[in-house]
Amino acid sequence: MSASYLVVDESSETPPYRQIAEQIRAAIERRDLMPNVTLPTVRQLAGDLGIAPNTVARAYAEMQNEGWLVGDGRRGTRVAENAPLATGRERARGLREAVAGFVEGLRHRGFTAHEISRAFQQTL
Amino acid sequence: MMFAHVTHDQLARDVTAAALAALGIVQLLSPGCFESIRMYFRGAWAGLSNEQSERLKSVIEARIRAEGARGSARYAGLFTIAMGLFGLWPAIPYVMPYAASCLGMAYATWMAYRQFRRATELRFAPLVRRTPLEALPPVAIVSAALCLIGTAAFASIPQFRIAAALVVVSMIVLVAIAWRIAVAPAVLFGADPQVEYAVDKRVRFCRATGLVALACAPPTVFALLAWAQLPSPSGLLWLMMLLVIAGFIATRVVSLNPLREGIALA
Repeated sequence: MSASYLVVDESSETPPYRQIAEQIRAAIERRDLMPNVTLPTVRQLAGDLGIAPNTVARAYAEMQNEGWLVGDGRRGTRVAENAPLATGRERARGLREAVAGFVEGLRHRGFTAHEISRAFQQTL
Repeated sequence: MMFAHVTHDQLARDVTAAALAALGIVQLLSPGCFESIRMYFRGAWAGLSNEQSERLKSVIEARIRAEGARGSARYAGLFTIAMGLFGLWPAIPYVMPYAASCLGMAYATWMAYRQFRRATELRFAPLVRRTPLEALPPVAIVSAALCLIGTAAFASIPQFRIAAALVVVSMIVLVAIAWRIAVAPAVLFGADPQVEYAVDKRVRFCRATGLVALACAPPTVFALLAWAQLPSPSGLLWLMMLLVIAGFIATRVVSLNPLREGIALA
């Protein structure tokens, strides 16, 4: 099984804990992370990403509250068996919202719609 | 008998000094040669496609560049030469400079890792749980423990007490550094995370187990030379020496085992 990888962009307007939660959620939705798979420990993930352990702990706690993950004491944090997978419509809405937020951030930084569109086309 | 003892001791000092000087010169001329990343992937290329080989080569070269100019390995080389000269001084146990130079090599390995960690701001993390035992398997830890117990037994003989204590301390420090490497974060730049992670796992294993094998080397040299000086060693001491040698051989086999193994890339 190929592993999924996380990255935290410190320059992004999205807080690091939310970036982590969103990427783990996406990995679960893509089925890269199957139910009952044990996630890295808070310490390991924080060390690998070079961020504070509290940030990872907050992301895990938020996802546990939402039902995506379950804490299992010494056995660590696992992907929940009944993770609240999004429907196609919810996924599409999530994508639209994410793109809108990203484009908004770029506009604040002074990029024009044409520049953003061209950059998207080149990247894709 | 007295003359024979002095000759043996002097011979051990001369051989140790010459060996350390040669080792130090090699380290100075070719810094990092004893923990070369390329060496860890000698057997990794079989079974890889051209595209996979290129990816692996590119990640290995990037890691070598990120670990830097290896100034610490040159310092370790100078330190090793100094220890060789220091070993000629009759007042100190001759195994001490060898143990100290092993610590110098461990320092160079650790500094390379620290340099590598500082090479990137943006880091990728695999969503896979690791345990330190993946990099430092229980067989290596148990073998090192046997080696430690065997060496400690020599401390019961007054003439070897200080040397045995020094060797045990150096061994503990080396194993502690190996453990730090085993539990250290994976540093992935994100250019090719899958290959970077595979490289990180191999490098981590080879360096951690290599340091444990290095930790067992001074005890083995010490036990063999101490044994040779004993006029009538007891059966228990014979067993202890066998433990030390068995521990060294086992850790060396564990550390060399993956060098010829292939590497699985998607």
